[in-house]
Amino acid sequence: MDELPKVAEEKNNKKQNERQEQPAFEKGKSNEILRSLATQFNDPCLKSSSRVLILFSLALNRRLGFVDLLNLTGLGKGSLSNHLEKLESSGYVITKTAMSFSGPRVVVEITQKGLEAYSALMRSLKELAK
Amino acid sequence: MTEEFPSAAQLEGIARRALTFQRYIFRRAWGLYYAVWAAAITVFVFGYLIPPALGFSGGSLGWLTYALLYGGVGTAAGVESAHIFRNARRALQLQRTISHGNLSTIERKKFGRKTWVHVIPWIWWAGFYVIIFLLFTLFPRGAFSGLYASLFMVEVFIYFELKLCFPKKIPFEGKAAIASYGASTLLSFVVSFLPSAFYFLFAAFWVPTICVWVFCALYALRHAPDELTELMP
Repeated sequence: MDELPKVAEEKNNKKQNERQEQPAFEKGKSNEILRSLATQFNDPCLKSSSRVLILFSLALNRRLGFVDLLNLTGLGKGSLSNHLEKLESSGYVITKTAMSFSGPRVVVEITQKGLEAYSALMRSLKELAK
Repeated sequence: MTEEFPSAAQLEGIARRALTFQRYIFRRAWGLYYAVWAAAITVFVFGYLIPPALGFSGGSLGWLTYALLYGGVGTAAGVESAHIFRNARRALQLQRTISHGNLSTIERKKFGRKTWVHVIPWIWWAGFYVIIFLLFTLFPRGAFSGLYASLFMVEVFIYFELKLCFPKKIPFEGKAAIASYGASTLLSFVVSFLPSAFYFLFAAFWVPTICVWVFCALYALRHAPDELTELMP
């Protein structure tokens, strides 16, 4: 990818400052909600920010290419493949090979189980944001 | 990253990152949208040349061919629109979820709209084809004027969809597409009241829009990766 331009870097810094200024969630309540969520998803597969991020993006788009997921997560190919393998073995996603103009490419689709996990995470986010 | 369930702050960060990435996905999808609709507009403007080119001298068979071709391209465009709209609605729901406590009054109004409001443009879009069919069948003289008047709603629809996908700022190519489409629609509406000798102006007004939309498609696809710079650490 191209070198980060100065303008984009300044924009990035500004956004990071804005995020730091946002009010933090109430600690006690959020811990309780997250504990409940962790119990509900007693699945080590979701104990990873990267895998939860992949799940979020797939829930929004239903299917994404491997390259898109690389751009989303910023992970290396091997690392991303590991995460996808774990998600697939737990039944949250399915990986397929699709034909395109530029040849075969790996496509990842979210499953119904993945969508249900996303819905539960969304409900928790709503509770946390109240 | 550590192998433990994300904290509250991490979950929020994950949602924001997914939404930032979504802007890249939308910009790329809109690039394809502009390309498909440029093809649809081309067929609509120059499609009347197809039946004679195929040897149909006129009558319903020739126009059936034209209608099928336009319907086919229009369906492809509609499918792409539906795809973008569905993804945009999901992103809006997520945005609404994480922004709930920090919305300004204007943003609260924008993100607080009920989901059914977003269905209205689609109901209109389905009705558009019914209206056009009735106009050309029952009121052929005023049909073109009615058609171009209806196309103003397409302008509104496109703006609505763009705003849904890019709530903070519509990209440059989106503004260019809306502007060119609106100008062509307005000029065509005016010409529709002139004698038929002026109908060649329809093609003259829509060729620039076709060119602009092809440019918008290429521009969107070229610049979509710019949105990924926000994801860089």
